[in-house]
Amino acid sequence: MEHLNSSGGKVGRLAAPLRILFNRFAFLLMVGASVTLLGLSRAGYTPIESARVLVLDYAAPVLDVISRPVAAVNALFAEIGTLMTIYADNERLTLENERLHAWQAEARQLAQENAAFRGLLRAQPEPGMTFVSARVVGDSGGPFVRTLMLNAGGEDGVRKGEAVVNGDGLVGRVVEAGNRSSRVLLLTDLNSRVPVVLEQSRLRAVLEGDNTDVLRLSFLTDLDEIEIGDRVMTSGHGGIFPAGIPVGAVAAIEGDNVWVAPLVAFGKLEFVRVLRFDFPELEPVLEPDLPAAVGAGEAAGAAGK
Amino acid sequence: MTPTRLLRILRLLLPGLVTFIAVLLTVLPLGIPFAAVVTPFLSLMAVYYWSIYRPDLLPPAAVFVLGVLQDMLTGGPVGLLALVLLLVQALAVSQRRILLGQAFSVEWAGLLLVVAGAGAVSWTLASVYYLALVPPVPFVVQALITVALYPLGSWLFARVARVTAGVE
Repeated sequence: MEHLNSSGGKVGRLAAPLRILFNRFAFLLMVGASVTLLGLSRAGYTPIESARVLVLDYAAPVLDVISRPVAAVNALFAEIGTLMTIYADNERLTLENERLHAWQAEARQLAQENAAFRGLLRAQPEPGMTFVSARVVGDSGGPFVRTLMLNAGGEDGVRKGEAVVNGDGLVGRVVEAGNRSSRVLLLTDLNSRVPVVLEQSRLRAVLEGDNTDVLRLSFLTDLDEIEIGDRVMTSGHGGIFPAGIPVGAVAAIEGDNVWVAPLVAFGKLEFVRVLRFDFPELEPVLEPDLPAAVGAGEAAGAAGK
Repeated sequence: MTPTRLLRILRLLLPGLVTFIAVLLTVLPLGIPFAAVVTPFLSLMAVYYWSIYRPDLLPPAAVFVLGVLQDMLTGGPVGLLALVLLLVQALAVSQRRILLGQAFSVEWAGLLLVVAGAGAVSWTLASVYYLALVPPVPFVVQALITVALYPLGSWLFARVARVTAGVE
């Protein structure tokens, strides 16, 4: 042991200049590797994408475990917060409940009416939707990107491109799906583009994120028709998102820029739903059982779509 | 392997481990309203600290690996944070003789400069990468939070550094 130590010290002394040289070389090598990786990542080199998904799959269970106590503490604080306002909340909710009862009656009636009209018109039924619930185990936090990590992946039925929502509205879409985890690109990310429609004016536009908390509408045709407070929802164009998911409301109009405040509080997301939405055009066309008289024409129309 | 040697190796790994935890904390959803938008650049704090006090225990290769890990976890351009952290390390190591043995305020001022430089470099790299002028506000916010939290970070790192003292 003694001998080992002394010889180690000697080598250490002799090698000091060598060590500096080696460190400098290692530093340059690592800088070169970083720049190369950046270039490959920019070019969309597939092994980097696969490595990312792999890291995600390994990190998600770990983050899942560590984030639980954090979530528990947050829940505790939230509970203390609600205790303070319990009386006011009760009053507000009672009033809201009354209002919602009236809405419910109206909604039931409209649903029936709608079903009747659809039957009369032989309208194509909206594609069925199922969902997968997932817990948010990580968020990007950096200034470049706005993403979330979920603890559900391919094995749970999550696929790349699917829309992610919570109780308030649209959150984003799945951009990477591992086996047991996935990554969601938030609406607020610089690279997020969502085709939307304005509820009142029925104007179509594209909703863009810019890494801040507000969203911008682009490709608007008629700015005069837009009013502050106008609700924004997905239009279903492009086939990525189902139509009619609430997204936000117009918050400000400054010249050509129309800003939208999202409905979702992106900083407080805990659970989300991934929508499994099979776009009708992507499904193989099945021959429906139609009455013989109209069968031929209908089937040709459907196939032509 | 004797227990003493094992313990020694574990102590050698501590700076890397601390930086690794810093990377994980960055992506943890903390639910703090302010930090939810942009979290502090914890791994930068760790790399800066260890580059001044124990550069031998956090070699460039470790910084590279941890940077790439953070890039992959956040879903950003792979290699960007690795490059930024390597530059932080090179800068801090080159100035460590000036910073060592000074009052904490000097170390803090040094971090301010490093954070500002790192922010400018990452904003430029991100803008080139996305071929668009990336909004600079989140970078400024992150830099401010990082500088504000450094005294706490430095204090915590100093506790760990005591454990590694005398280990080579």
